[in-house]
Amino acid sequence: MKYKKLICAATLLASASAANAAEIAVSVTNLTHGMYFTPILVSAHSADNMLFNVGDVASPEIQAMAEGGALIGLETLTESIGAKNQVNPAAGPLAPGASSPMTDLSTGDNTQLSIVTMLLPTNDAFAGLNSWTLPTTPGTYTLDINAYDAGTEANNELIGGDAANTPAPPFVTTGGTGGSGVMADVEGFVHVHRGNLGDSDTDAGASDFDNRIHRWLNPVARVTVIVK
Amino acid sequence: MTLRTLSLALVSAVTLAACGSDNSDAPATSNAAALSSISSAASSMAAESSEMMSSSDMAVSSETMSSDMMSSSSSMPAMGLDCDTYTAEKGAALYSSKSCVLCHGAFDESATAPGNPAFGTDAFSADATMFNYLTTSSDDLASFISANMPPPTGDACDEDCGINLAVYISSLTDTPLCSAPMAEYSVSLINGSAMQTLSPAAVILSDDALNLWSIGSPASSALEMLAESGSPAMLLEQNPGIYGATLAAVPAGQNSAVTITAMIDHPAMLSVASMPIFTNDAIVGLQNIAIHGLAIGDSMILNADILDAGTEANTETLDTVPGLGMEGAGYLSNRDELTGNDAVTMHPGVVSNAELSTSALSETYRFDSGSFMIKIVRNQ
Repeated sequence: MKYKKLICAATLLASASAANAAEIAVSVTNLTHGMYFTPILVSAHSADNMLFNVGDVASPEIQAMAEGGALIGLETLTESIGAKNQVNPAAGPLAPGASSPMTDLSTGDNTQLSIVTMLLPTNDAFAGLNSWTLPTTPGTYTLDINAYDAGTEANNELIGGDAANTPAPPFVTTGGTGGSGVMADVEGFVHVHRGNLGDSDTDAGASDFDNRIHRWLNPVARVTVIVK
Repeated sequence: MTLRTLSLALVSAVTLAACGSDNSDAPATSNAAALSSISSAASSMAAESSEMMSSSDMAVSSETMSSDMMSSSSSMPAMGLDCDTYTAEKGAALYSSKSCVLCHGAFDESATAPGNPAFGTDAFSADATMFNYLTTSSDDLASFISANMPPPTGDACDEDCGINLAVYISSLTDTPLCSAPMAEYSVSLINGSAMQTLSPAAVILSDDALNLWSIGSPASSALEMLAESGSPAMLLEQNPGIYGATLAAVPAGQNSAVTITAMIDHPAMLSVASMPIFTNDAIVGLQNIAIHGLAIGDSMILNADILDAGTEANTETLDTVPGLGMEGAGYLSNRDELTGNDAVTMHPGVVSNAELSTSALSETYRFDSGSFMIKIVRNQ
């Protein structure tokens, strides 16, 4: 067929069927230079739902994940609609360059795969895979995914202290203090993150982030999915 | 931080993967708002400029067609005509191979063949309803051709030849004998950035690869016009393709869409170009996306390239950047790229006044790869 190479690979995905339970395995790689991922949520869910949507206001559950790495809300919410989840497959934070172990998931009747994990240090950034249609053809699929801004917290880039700031977990060992705050405005809708700004002043300046360490370019994560 | 008063239910909206399926593109009623969905899966198909069959009669219209005309995969017969056997392509080939063009000339844009006084032939309109040759006249173009053409014997074009030619000639009119089934696509430009506004975009459908820009080569004046002023008019005028449209400007977090139709099974290549307004000379777009391989109901979401036209220094000053609150002059024909390299490249990003003292742009105007997307859905 002359045009077959022009057809999007995922055209195959369009034929994904909800008929049979699928056995898959998933691994997530942190591609960034200096950003940590909080515990990861891998969720196989139905095609009627999505975890987030660019342009929309983030749900409180996405907000909790993006601002503080909390998964419990998303866990409860997705399970209430019959989703099959992997919670925290990396057993803790995922360091720059590290991969979570390839972990099995039985998806049941669910046809879509979503993955979210907060980036640290940020105010409300998360790496996201949004309702990817699981292929039915066995094989290994690799997806590069981008960082989103939940749009729920101003990107002031200040570490620790007030809840309006970014969390300060012990595994984030780099960064400064005494910043005056980068941005006070909340965007209000989910969008593709513009990236941290940072600065080179560890004791003052606008940002507590280090502009040599805490910046990234998309994609920020690589998702490997094995369909068995 | 303020907790949003949202329903706890997951947003119910259409889902799709980077190149996945999307069967229900109806506008969402709840907070799904303007965008149907964005996938982060970046296994995006790059714009392709593959070899294509050339086709001279790709028909595109923005008019709505009746659904029964478009839902069938075979052609619509007119008056019992077998439109799978008799086609405009075959007729056009015969018009050339039988040397019809010698006496009648090639049909122009108004579907008129000028004729050739040297052979005593008058201009012939494809819209004509009566056909005369010597003492013969007929209102049936197909039988008239096979009986009389080419003169003097009329023996060199049989019945099939006459029907194909009639199908071809009528295809140039508003009342074709065979209406080709049409594919319908919805094309959306999605602004996933924090603060940028996308200018009105040029959307061009073509059956041959366009060259709206080339990395490493100087931008055309039309591209420079778009990149500096946000006006796609010149780009559309100079690259008509088969069909061109202008999309409405897109604020951050929103999208803008247009519906286009194209002949099924013919090459259809889509190009989209816009300016992220709060820049000196950036372009967001993709060119020559092959869309004819999409099945009905399928869709693709592609990350648009973010380019620097290379025509204006990225000073980000108040008087060079257009847009709300800025005082940019828009298009200036001089080329003063700081690198001295008058060439289209990928954009290095907005620096912002956090790090560039001359910049009038706050850091919120920055963007990363993947911030702007093009979504194509095959509806019919």
